[in-house]
Parts: sequence; C-alpha cells; structure tokens
Amino acid sequence: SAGETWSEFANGQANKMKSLRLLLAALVVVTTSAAGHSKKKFDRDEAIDHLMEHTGEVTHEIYDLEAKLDARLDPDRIQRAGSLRYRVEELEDEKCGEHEHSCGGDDHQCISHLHFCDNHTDCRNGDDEKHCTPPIKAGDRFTGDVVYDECTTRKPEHITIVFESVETAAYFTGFPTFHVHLEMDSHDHDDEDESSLPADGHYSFADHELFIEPPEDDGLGFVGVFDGYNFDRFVGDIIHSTSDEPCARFIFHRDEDDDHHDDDDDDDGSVDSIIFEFI
Amino acid sequence: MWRLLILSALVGLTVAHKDDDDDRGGLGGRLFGTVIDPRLAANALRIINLERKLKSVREKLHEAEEVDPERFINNLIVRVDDLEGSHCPEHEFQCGGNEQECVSDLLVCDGKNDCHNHHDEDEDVCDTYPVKAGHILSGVSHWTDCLTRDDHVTRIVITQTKRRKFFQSRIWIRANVESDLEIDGKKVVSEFHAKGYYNFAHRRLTLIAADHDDHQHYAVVCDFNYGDSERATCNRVEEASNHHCAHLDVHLEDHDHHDDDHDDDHHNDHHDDHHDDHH
Repeated sequence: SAGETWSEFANGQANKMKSLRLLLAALVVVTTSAAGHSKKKFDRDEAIDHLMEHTGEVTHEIYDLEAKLDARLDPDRIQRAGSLRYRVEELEDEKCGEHEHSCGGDDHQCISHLHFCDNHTDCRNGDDEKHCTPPIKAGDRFTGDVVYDECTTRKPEHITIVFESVETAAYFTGFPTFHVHLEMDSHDHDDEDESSLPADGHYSFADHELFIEPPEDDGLGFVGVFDGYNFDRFVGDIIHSTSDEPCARFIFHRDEDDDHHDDDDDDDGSVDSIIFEFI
Repeated sequence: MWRLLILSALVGLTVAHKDDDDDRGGLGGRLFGTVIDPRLAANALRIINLERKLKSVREKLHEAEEVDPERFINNLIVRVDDLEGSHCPEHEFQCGGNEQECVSDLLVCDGKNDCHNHHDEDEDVCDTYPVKAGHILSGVSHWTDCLTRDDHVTRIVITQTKRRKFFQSRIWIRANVESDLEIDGKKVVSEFHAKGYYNFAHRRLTLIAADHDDHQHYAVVCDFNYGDSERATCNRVEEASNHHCAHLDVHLEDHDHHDDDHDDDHHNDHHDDHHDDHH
C-alpha cells in the first residue's frame, strides 16, 4: 500500500508540473489579451493579482510536499532507527568471525577488519568504504558519566576526553591514530585532585571502536564503542589492557560547545531558503 | 527554464507591437515602462524557480522510496521475536499476540481456524507471495564446508507450485537452482532441478534435488525471516544430516513491477545465461 501512496504522490507531482504549464499559458493569454484591450486597465491588474496569488498557492503546495519528503528522509530519524537496529544486532549471534565484520545490508558478507576503509572496495555492496570519515577530529571533547567503577584509583564522577590531534597514515587509512588528554577531577576527605593524563590511541572503522592505551603504569586502558549511527555518544569501558577485562564503565556524550559543525550546516540551509524566498 | 524567459520576452514583444499599432509612443519606452508589467516578470521568475524546485522534489521522492519505516519496523519485530524464541515445541506454531497458544504446523493455513485469535489463518501468515511460480530468488553463496568454491551467485527459479485442496498447509514446489560458477577461467552455469515445499508456519522453503544425476546437489533451505516476502536467509545443506555447507541471503529479483527499463535488462541477461547453458 505504501507503493501506491508514493505513485499517487508522483502523479500529484506530474499534475503540479501541468498546472505550472497552465499558469504559464495563462500568463501569455492574460498579457496578450490585456494588451489587446488596453483600455480595460482595471481588469488587467485584477488578472495579474489573481495570477500571482495562484503562483503563491502552488509554491505553498510544493514546499508542503518537500516538507513531507524531508520528514521521511530526516537524518535524525534514520540515525535513531539505526541505533535501535544496532542494539538488536548486539543481541543477535555474531554472524562473522572474531576479527571480521559484516558488510551489512541484505547480502550477508564478512570481511576482515583490516580491509575497512583501506581505499579498496572489498564488500560487494561497497559498505566498507562508505563511512570513512573519523567521527572524531582535533578539538573534539567527550564527557563521560560513571556507570560503575571497580578499578580506578581516583574514582572520578566524570572523565573528559579531549582530542588533541587526529592523524591518518596515507598508506593505512583504516586506523586513524590520535592523541588525547583524559581530564578528571577527584576528591576525597583530604584532597581535591585534578588530572590531565596524556595518552595515545587509535580508532577502528570496522567496529567503530576507540582504543586508548594505558596512560599510567597501572595497565588500565580504555575502549569506547560507538553504535555506528550516532556519533555523538559512545559507551566507554576501562579495561585491564593485559586481560581485556572491563572494570569500569562511562557513558560519553559529545560536548556541544566546541562543535561548530552542525551550526555550519544550519547556516547553509537557511541561506538556501533565503535565496529562494528572495527570488 | 530558459524557454520560459524567452517566451515571456516574446510575449513582451507582441504586446509592444500591438501597442505600436495604437501609435501611443515609442517602443523603447513602452517595453520596460508599462508594457511588461514588472509584477508579471517577477512572477515568471517565481515560476522558473518553482520548476527547478519541483525537479529537486522529484529527486527527493526517489530517495524517499528507499526509506521504508514500515518495512524497517517489521524487520526488527521479526528479529526480536526470533531472539525471544518460541515456547512452542518443534513443529508447532505460536499463535502470537497476547495469546500463548501453540498449534501444530500441519494446521496452519489449512483454511480452518485453530488458534483462538485466528492468527493461523491470518493473511500475512498465509501469504503465498514468497513462492509464486516465476519468482527468481537470487543471492551470493558463501561456502564454508562440503565444497571448495569461491563466492558465487545462486538463483532459485520457482517453476511450478501446487497446493492440494484437501491439504492446504503446504505449497509443493518445483524449482531450478542455478549457480554461476567460474571453472578454469570459463563461466559456467551449474543447474539442477529441485522439488520441495513451503511451510507457512515457519515461513520456510525447502528444496531437494529432484533427479539424481552423478553430481551431488546440496539441498536449499530458505527462511523468509526478514519480516517481508522478498528476502530470505538460505543455507545449502546435506539432505540427510541437515549439515550446513553454505550460506546465502537471497532477495526477489523484481521483474514485473516498477523500473521497467531496468527489468528488461534483467530478462535479457537471463536469456543469455540459458543460452550459454545449452552450448
């Protein structure tokens, strides 16, 4: 039934096109006839008013249609749906081997992690080269709130990860490396401590994971996993780097104040629409 | 778009010409002063912009057709149901909904209500669309056992279906299973005739080799577990042991709905394949 609605929709559009043509014809007729009987100046004005009003109505309908289409294509909605699917996928049995990843889509295929975003298409559907912009860039900040913590010495309520630099080796693009500072406050009965620990790490496109090597000699590293759709949020686990055993968890959110990216997008949109309104 | 501009210019000229006949002044003054009403010119520009806008809306419509929320949600429902599992024993059908009732799969879609909520005779449960004669289900086979083969395309062409009036809970099916193989650098189509049945209760299509030639042909078992009637997860299995040898995800090749041009191509391809086969 959805298909029908859409074809009706398409027909509607074709009709709109026709009505535009009609409008144009009307313009020709009105102009010539007005010129023919130039004495009836009053009628001509009225006709032009009518014409412009009609154009306005059609404009309104077209923008209405566009708004409906935009609602369906809303990236936010698609992202939320994707996040939901990710949660189901996490519950399902792994379809691929340990160091493999699924290409996604309807056509099941597994490829090695090492082949994701290596500038060579390995998936039949090209999925492995489609999402190859790192979700993090220099200057990004993520703040995490503690879920549980059984191993850190500071027991911080919040950790902020500040990305100092992000680099991608030209010959090995699947694993961008980065340098971060882990900022945290902690306090006990006697002291107020502030720390900013420098650390190195890398990002893996295949499973949307951040790895941060242990900044101190306690062997506690860090793994952050994005869901692959929402790149403003990830779950971060502190792990014993030798055994990979998680012992603390934080939920991280992107700090918006440093993020100008979205603002730019908005500006573009409004400029576009202003131009349209203007003409 | 430009023809619109030219048209309006022409209109202006005719008007100017007629006014000239009235002999009420020079052409130049009339052309830009009173003859082409500036409001009409502005309106023409608006119409030109509307035409451009309509074009972009049409493109958006094609994009929007790719995003199908209903299909997405159905897919997730089926997957979550699958994770939850059924509390019914093997070979039984769960009536679903709030009713925790099981009926034998021999009673599903037999034309008689057996579930209290009549779910066993529901339209979407008893949909015969997945296995209509003439349907071609195609996908890429990935062999993990039994045979040493590279990934290759497999097509299941359903040639004949039969539903006994006195036993409607199965559809008996004949099909051709074709595989595009590459042997010694040559493209070969390996094909065998298969027979089997479709089971409504588990949405499962089972096909085994119909005639025993000297090759061993592995049976095909497809589950339509995507929440729609166009996609299925299949396995190539050993008939006796049900041991899994290969995995393939198939989708229905569309041949009689939308995208006419595209489909014609498909048909031609297919004929060519058969041709090769006979040589």
